Amino acid sequence: MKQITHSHPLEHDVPDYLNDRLSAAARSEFEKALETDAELRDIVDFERKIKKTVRATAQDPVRAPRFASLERRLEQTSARSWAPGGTWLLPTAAAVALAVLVGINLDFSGGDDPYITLTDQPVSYEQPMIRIVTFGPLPEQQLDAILAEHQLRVVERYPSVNSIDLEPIDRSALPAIIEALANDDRVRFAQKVTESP
Amino acid sequence: MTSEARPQQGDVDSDCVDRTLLQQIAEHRDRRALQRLYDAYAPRITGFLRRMTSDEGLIEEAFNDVMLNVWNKAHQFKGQSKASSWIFSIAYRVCLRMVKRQKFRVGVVEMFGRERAETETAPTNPVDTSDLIATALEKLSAAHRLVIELSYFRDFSTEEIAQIIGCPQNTVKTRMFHARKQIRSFVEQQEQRAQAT
Repeated sequence: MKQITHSHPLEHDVPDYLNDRLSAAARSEFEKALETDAELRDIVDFERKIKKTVRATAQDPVRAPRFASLERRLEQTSARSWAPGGTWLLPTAAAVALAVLVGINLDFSGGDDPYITLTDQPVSYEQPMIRIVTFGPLPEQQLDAILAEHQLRVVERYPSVNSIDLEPIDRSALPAIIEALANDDRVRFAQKVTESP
Repeated sequence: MTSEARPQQGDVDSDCVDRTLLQQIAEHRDRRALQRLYDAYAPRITGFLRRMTSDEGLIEEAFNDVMLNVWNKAHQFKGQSKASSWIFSIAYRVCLRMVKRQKFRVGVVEMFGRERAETETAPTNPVDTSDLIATALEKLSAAHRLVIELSYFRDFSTEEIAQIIGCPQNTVKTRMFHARKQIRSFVEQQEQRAQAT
């Protein structure tokens, strides 16, 4: 393989050439150059190998995602947004109190995106939360027991990493709850966090 | 030479269908339309996500994130790009987030001294150029790797990749150039090392 230490003027067009995405005129010009330019041919050859490797290493899906799993999340997010004691209650109460205090008119038309999704940037929590990591997917019954035992509620779940962020109902008990969870056989790891991962 | 994107066969028809489905979601909150998009994009997007991780749970979670965003933000699609480019622009951001989450997961696994994540294992004793290229691809940064994957795995043009990433075409070209240079440099080094032994 010939060593190339600089950029060829047509090098940037190679991907579109290989993907057959150049216009007819650009393609014809590129092919004309290809006939006479050994350096360009070398670049195209190497790029072709990259493309072939990318294609060859593509893996077959182990399982197809199921729409039902998305539907469950749709239900959860809309339920969480409106459930009593859900995530809307505290911010709304704070906003109303603020509006009363400063005497401004609130616009209740709502934002563009009422949902929190994993694609958002890490969310900074207003107050510290507790993140637990379990040994595997935690059965709902066990989670309910942990929530009841320590007076916690779920803030966010990260099933792919067997992790859940929890909020203590009594904030002053946070250090004691972390200590108790750290010694809980169902929990692998517990720590105080201030933002989502 | 300019690389005007040349539409591929079938693109126009499927884009028309996708636009209609997005409109139905935006205007009527039509879940059947969402399911059609879900089924149509599942193989393409999970295939793309699978290029960055082998964790099937994470892939399904990330794909559901993409479709949840499609559901929530369909009204923001203005039709300035192809529907597939718009959906892939969401997938691109989710993918970057997924890579971060994968690191979080690896961190948790390492903390407890369990086995390292599968994606960290490199092919042992790479012998031919394809193996070397495959290893070099894994060593690229997420930003560089993703432009290569979008181009050679999904056949997007430079112009479409710029829309997906949300940057000028020249940035895409520069990232492609640096990715290619790093791959080439790695392959040359390994080949020289092999010759020396």
